[in-house]
Amino acid sequence: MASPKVAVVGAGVIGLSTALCITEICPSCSVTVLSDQFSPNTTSDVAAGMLIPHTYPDTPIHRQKQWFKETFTYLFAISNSAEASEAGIHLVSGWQVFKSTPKEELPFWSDIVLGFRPMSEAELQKFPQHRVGQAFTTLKCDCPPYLLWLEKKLKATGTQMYTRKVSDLWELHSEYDIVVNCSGMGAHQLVGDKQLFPVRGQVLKVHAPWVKQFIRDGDGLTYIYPGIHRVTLGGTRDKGSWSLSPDAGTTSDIFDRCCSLEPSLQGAQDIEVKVGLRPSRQSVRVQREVLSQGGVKLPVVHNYGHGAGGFSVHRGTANEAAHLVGECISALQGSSSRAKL
Amino acid sequence: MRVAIIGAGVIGLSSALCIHEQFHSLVPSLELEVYADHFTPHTTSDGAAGLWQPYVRDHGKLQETLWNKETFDYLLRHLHSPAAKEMGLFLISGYNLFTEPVADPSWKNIVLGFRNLTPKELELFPGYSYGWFNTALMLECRSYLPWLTNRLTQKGVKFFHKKVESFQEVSGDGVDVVINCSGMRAGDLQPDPELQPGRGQIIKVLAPWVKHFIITHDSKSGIYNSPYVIPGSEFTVLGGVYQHGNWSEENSAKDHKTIWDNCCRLLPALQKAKIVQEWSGLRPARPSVRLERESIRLGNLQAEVIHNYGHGGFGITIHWGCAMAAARLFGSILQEKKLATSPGPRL
Repeated sequence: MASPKVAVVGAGVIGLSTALCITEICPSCSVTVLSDQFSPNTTSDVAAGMLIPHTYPDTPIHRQKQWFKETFTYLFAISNSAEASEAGIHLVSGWQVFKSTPKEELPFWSDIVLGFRPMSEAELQKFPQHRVGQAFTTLKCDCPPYLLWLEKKLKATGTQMYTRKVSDLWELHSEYDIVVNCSGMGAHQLVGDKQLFPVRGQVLKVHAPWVKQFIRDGDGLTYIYPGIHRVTLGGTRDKGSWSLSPDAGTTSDIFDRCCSLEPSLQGAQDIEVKVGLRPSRQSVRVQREVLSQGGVKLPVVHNYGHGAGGFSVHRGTANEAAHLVGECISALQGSSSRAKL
Repeated sequence: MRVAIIGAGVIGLSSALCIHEQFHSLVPSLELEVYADHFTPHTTSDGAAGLWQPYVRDHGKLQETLWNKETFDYLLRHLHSPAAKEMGLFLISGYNLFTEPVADPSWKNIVLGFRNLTPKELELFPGYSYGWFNTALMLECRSYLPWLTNRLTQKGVKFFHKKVESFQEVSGDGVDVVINCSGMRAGDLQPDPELQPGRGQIIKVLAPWVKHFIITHDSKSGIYNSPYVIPGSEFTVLGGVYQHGNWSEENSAKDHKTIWDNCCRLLPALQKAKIVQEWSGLRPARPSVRLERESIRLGNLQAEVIHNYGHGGFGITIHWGCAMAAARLFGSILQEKKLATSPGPRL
C-alpha cells in the first residue's frame, strides 16, 4: 500500500487535529477531511476553548493527564511563537472559585497548568459568596482562528477538505482504506452509539475588552473566559437536551450569574448568543474497529465523545488516534503482503 | 474661598476632586478652578499605559509606599462599582522579570496574589532567570481623566485653558490657595533643579491576545530602560525607554527600533501586531515627590501654595494617596484661616 487513503469524518477541533497528527505520523498517507460543517459552524466554534480539563468518569486518570499534558505542551509552544495570534492561542490567568470546599483539593491537572495555588484571603474578598478558590494560568484556543489555522496547516500538507454529510461510515469503503470517526455529537447517529449524549451549552459572547482574567465557578455552570476579541460568558449543562435554539430566559440568567462574579460586565456590549451540544460520554472513545460486509473490511479509528473537555485533551487524543491509524496501516500492509503469498 | 489647581493631569484632577469631596460641605464658599495648558487626551498622564505598579526599590521612602497603598486600596474598592468601566479601571495580572534573584518589593502585600515565578513560567522568557507574578490594577487615563473631569464639572468646578506663567498670576487675582500640580513644567513656576525629565517613548499596537503585563528589569540599564508590554482595554503599550535629562518630546527612530525589537524578542507573537500610534513624553522625575505647603510672599500678599509634583513614572500608582495628603495640607490651611468648622475628615 503505497499511499493509504485516510478519510477523517468531522472538522471540529478533534477532526482537524487528528487529521494533522495523521499527516505528521504517517507522511505517506493521503488524508481527506469530510464534514457537513466547517468552522465557524462546528460545536468547537461555540466553545470558549479553555484548557481546564473535564474529568471523564470511565477513562483512567493517568491517560487523561497524559492527554492534557501533551495538549498543553503543544499549545504552550505555539503561544510562545510568532504564530500565536494567527492560531488564536494565548495564555490567560484567573480564578476558579467554590461556594463550598471541593472534595479534591488538588485536581489532577494542577501541576500541568502554570502557577497553580490556592487563592489568598485578599483575592477571595472579591467573591463574597465563595469560600475557597484556586488561582492559575492556562491556555485558551480561540475559535474560529484555531480551526482556521489547523485547516491552513492541513492544506499545506496537501490534505483535501470537502463539505459532505456522511450518513454511514461504510459508504466510504470503496474510496478510502481507513476511516477516522471524529464526528462528535454526530456519532450518535453515524455509528449508533447510545452511550453518547448531548449536554447542551448556551453561552454569550460579548464585547468587554477590559476583562483580562477568567473566573470560573467550581460548579462548572458559571464562567467568564476572555478571548482575543470577545469574552465568553456561560453557561448551561442541560443533559440530554438536543435543542440548538437559544433560550431568552437562559440568556438573562447567564448574564446575571456572570455579573455577580464580575460586576463590570454590566457594561458589556454586543451580546451574541450561541448554543452547542457537548458530545458527552463516560469515557472518550479512542479505539480501533474493523467494519466488514461481505468479506470486505474497513478499518475504523474512533475519536469522539470528548464532552466538555474537547479542547483540553484534543492533541493528546489526536496523537493516540493517529497512532491507531498507523497500526491500521501496518495491519493492512501485513495482510496485503500475506495476500500476495 | 477660591482655590486654583494648576495642571489637569491625573495629579491635578484627583487633587481637585479630593479637596472638593472633603471640604465643600464644610466651606460653603469653596470655589475650585483648574488651570492647564493641556487637557486630556494631551497630558503626560494620557501617555502612560495606566498600570498600578511602583518602582521595584523604594529606597526607604516609606511615605511614598504608603501613598501607593492608599491609591491601590482606593481603586480596589471601586472595582465593583458601576463606575469602574467608565473610570477605565480593571484587574490585570502579569509578570516582572529579572536576570538574577532580587528582594521582594515593598508592594508585595499591596497587590493580589504576589508570588515568585515557577521554572516552567520562566521558560516563556528566555534570558530571564527570576521573576514575580501578581494581580494589579489598570487605570487608563484616557477614561479616568474624562471621568474625573465630569465629576468635577458636575460639582461646579471651573476649567480654564491657560498656561499659568507664575503663582502671582493666580494669587494676585484673588485666589486664596494654589495647588501646584504642574508636573514636568513645575520648574517654570518655581525653579527646581531636582525635577528632571525621564523621557519615555511608547508604541501602541493592536494585540488583543495579550492578557498579561510583562515588565522586564535590567539593573544595569535602570528602571523602564528594559522592555515592557502592557495590554490596555483597546491597545497594548510597548515601551522600555527612560532617558534622564532628555527634554525631547519627538519620537526617535532609534528608540522605536529598540522598543520594537526588544518587545518582539520578549513576546514573539507581537511580530504580527499592528502599530497604531507612537508617543513620547516626559516623566516628571524627582528624588522624591514634592508634596508640601509653601507660603509665598507676593508684594503685601501672602499666597498659600501646596506643591504636588515630581511623581516620575508612578503618578497613576501614587495619585490618590498624594491627593489625600494635599487635601490634609489644605485642611490645615483652612484651620489656620479658621474657615473650617472642624478638621477635614480623613478618607
